[in-house]
Amino acid sequence: MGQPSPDCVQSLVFLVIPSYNEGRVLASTIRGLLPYGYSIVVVDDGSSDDTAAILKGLPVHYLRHPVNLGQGAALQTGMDYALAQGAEYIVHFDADGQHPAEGISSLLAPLRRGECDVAVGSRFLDAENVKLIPRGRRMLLRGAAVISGILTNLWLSDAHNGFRALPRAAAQKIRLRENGFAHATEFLDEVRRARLRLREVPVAIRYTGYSQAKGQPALNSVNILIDVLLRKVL
Amino acid sequence: MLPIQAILIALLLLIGGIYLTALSSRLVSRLALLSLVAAGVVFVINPDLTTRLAHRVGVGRGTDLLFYLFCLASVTVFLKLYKKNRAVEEKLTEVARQVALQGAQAPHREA
Repeated sequence: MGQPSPDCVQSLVFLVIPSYNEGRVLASTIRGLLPYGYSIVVVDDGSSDDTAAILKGLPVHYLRHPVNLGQGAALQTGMDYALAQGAEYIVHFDADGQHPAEGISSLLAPLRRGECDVAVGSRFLDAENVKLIPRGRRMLLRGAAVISGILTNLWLSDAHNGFRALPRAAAQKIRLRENGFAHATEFLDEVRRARLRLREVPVAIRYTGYSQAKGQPALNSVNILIDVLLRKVL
Repeated sequence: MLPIQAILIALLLLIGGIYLTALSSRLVSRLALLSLVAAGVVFVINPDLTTRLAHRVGVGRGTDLLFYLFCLASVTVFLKLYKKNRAVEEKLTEVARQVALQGAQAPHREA
């Protein structure tokens, strides 16, 4: 997997942020990221709010799906774009600010040292972080991790963490076809198929009122599971 | 001939005709359709035939046998449609992605 230069320019780290009707919170997320100097790619997934207007003046790359396709599709579009722009590293980042900006360098560190090809954030590796997760969600995530392990044969402590980083070469090997939220499982499938070395990195998730209201309701996970199964069978 | 038989046969032929001319152009599916319509007409004219067939495979009534087959056919159609829908979705995604990439706005760089 090549030798990533140790002091790779920050602007060659591309954050891909899918956003669907989250213009307001997205703007504050982006303001928090600007001091770090990363390149920011916003993929507006056919939002009907005024995302474009809100982002005006912010130094970000702005792409817009003409229709709403889903988070998986938005991530793939953002990755295609970042690769075309010459990205050295690609980071999947959430629009609602639940991922801490400091976590980005934690994810990149093992990649830069060449110790793994994909770094994924985990809420479960650090006891302090686990306490931040609401109890009901904790159980749901544990269950999801087991199901995901069975389906992908990759046993992670936190299989549904959308905070991921990968170097260029790894990103080129991954293709998300699952447009909706089932892309989380698909991503792991792709990692295994491409024989990429994955490592989990402890990262805290900020559970704000906003992200909890927006987050996946428990019942939705059943829906996602069906998506994943259908895709496996057909 | 009973009125219902006339109605059913007429409908069968009509649907077959529409499907043949408008929907499918593949030889295999056309032949399959023709034989299906032919079988339908035969069964409508001679309803006892389905019952005899049913008995032969261990089903009580011809109606039941047809119902079972109908269920299987529905599931097959559902799966086919699901697959087709996915293919369409993938194409739509590709188109939308290209639109997004072509219309991408890079940040204005202030040196």
